[in-house]
Amino acid sequence: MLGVSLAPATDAGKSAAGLGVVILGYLGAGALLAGLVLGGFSALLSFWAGIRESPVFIQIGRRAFFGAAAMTALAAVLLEVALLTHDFSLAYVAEHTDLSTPTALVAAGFYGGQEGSLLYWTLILGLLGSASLVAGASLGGRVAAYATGILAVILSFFLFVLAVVASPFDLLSITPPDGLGLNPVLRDGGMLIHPPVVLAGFAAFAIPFSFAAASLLAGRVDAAWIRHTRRFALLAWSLQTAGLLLGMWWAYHVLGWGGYWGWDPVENVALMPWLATTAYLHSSQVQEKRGRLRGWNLGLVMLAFLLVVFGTFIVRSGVVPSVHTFAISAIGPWFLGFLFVCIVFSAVLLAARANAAPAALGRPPAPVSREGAFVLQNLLLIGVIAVVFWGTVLPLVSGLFGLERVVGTPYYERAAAPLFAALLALLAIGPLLPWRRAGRPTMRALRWPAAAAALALVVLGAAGSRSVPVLIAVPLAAAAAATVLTEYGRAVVRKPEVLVRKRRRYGAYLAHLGLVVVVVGVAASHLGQQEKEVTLAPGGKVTLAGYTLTYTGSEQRQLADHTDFVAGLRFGDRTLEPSRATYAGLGGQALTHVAITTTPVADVYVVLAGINEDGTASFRVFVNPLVTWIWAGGAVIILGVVLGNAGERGVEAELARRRIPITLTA
Amino acid sequence: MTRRSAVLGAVAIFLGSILILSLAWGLQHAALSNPPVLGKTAPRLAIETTSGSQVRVWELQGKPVVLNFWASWCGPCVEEGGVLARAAQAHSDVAFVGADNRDTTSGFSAFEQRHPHPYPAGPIVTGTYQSYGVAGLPATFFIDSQGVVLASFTGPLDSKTLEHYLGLIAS
Repeated sequence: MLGVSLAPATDAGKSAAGLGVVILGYLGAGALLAGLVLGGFSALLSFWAGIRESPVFIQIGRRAFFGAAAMTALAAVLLEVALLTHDFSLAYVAEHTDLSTPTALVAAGFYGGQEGSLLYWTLILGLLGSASLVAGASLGGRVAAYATGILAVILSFFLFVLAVVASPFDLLSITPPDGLGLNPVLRDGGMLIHPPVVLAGFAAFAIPFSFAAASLLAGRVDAAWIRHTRRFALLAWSLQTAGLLLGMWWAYHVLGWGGYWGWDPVENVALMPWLATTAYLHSSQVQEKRGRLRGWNLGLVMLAFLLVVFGTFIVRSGVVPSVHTFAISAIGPWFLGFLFVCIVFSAVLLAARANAAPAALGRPPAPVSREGAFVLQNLLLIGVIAVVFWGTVLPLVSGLFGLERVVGTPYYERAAAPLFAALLALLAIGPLLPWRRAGRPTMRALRWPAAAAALALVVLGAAGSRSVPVLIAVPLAAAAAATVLTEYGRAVVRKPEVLVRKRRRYGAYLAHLGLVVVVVGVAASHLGQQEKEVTLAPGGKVTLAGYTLTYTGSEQRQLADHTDFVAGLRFGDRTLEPSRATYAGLGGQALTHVAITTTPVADVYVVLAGINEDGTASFRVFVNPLVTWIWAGGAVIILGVVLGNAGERGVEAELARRRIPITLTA
Repeated sequence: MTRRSAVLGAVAIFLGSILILSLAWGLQHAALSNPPVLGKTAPRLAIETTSGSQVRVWELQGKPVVLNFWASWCGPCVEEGGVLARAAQAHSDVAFVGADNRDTTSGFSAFEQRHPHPYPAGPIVTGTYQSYGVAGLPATFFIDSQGVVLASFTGPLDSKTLEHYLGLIAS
């Protein structure tokens, strides 16, 4: 508790660190408490103002939320100052940094541990929440008021956990001269980008959720919320896309097992909200264009946030062992309670209000139509979520019934691969289907993707590929790429200006193309990986998949915070230097530094397993085909989303043009 | 309320309760909530090797034991595998045991084909990893010849660190 943690502060005050340092801890704890009070006040006032439709109180509630966000920002600044000034009177600073840690990583220690990363989460929620409230002011009093209230409840919950259960401002009774240092695995450039992006993505999912729930509470399940929600859902989705890819890139470069995705529980829980929001970004178009699937869209947005809370619980409570597990902490039960409240709230709200939306307009669409493709795509994505969810909770559900079971990569691959293949096929066909009903012209349009798939199949057959997954994945990817390229080709030939006027559509096609590139990279690297373990004396050679490496010898390098054992391997005119770092300050913890060199068709990936006393060195060498395609494809996806949505045309104007009523009050 | 929505609601509540109960069970059995084992008699644990024979840690008394928790999906476990294998061959007076946990049978056997352990390794058949407070993998426990846990190490071992701990339990 806070009172306890502040009590021994007098000892810290006597230490060399001085009085100013202790004040940082007090100020930080005070800022969190002030934020909590403001957040709670904002929540109560906003709900009351929503019920009463009182503009004055709506305004005050909103300002209280801004105040809570400002207090969170103040706490974040104080923690960062404490880190950068090496204020080891704070337990968090002492546990996650030391004097030898490079400054950039000391700054990154902000989100390197449980408490600090929660504060970062809360900070992003406060900032993006404030931005969404400013942008959403036009949504109408009651929706805005309820959205403020829900955001304030979520913010207050996090501030409560930070202020009372897991404070980053807890003081140590004695100020140590040096800290423990950051976990060696986290001492990497990847630490500067992956966690902040993925945590920001997690936090951002709260905003679409708040507005969806607010629309339901206010009984305004109309098109206006879609426009507002889509923007923030897209932001959360983009952050999560980048976060997932950066995590894969980091795992690939740091962990040294030659792969980038291990179906670890923590990877799974980051993937599920992304899948749900991918479904929403597609199905929301059905609502925008055809006024259908209102309840479904609300459900998807709420599901994404519930999966985020579920994921946060899984990651931070330590219920499932994982490579990402945080240190021991008491926050598990609090997050379980929060998850329970969120699930009940969402379920009751959806059950009570979603059906209140008026029935869809006009005739139901034909199964073979754009709408039909979106619905099928949504069902497939929900199927993937179900597979991943079951694999993640199985150890717990089976444990509850007394026989603990766990599933590994083969389960996920077997269960999810057919669904991914079907999604890939839809990626080729869906964009060519017209709204309402597909006719003969559509069949003609499908000839290009069909031809591309056939060509890919012939090329693979001629190249001697006998792997069934490759023979399915690559032709489908070729078909999907052909679909995008024919759509672009048609636009360029007929009316080039539509590329700009309908940039959301063509941006999305670019993202599809990026996804195809990612799929090819994943298929090639996953199915075509080659691996060899070898022990070499200086001058010895190893050849794998036609690549030859020559071991030139090893050396020891003493750096500020660790000792590096470096082995040299000659590869053509390049030298690869895989190494092992030993951190003296951390009980001799060791870390591998992988050496990777990229050729146009494959990565040569070398891990130093050990340097032996007789001068030989043991290596694990991988040849991973087309891994760079994954990173390049990811960049294309983000580029497509950014280009497609920069200066987005108002959806209300679009709806007015199509004569779809904007407000359908329940 | 129609009959259909009542049935749907009941199913949703049932599944939701199972989920929340499972998560609560997980909290009760979280690897992290267990008391530390350092300085105490090693909790009972047995594994079954590919040949089908069982190795019981509590029956290895009289010999120091290096108990390594690993899994086939765990990259750092593969990384330290060579270090452990060499140490096991160099120290015939120490019993090395590899406890595979949170793994699949197929994952385990595929791993054994690619990286066969020179010492007994296999899935846990008696006891749990939780009784050792294992949260992340790999985790290694150093047990002296009296069966007392003297040290533990989380993360991949290098040969220098391993030798340090081996010296601890040998004396």
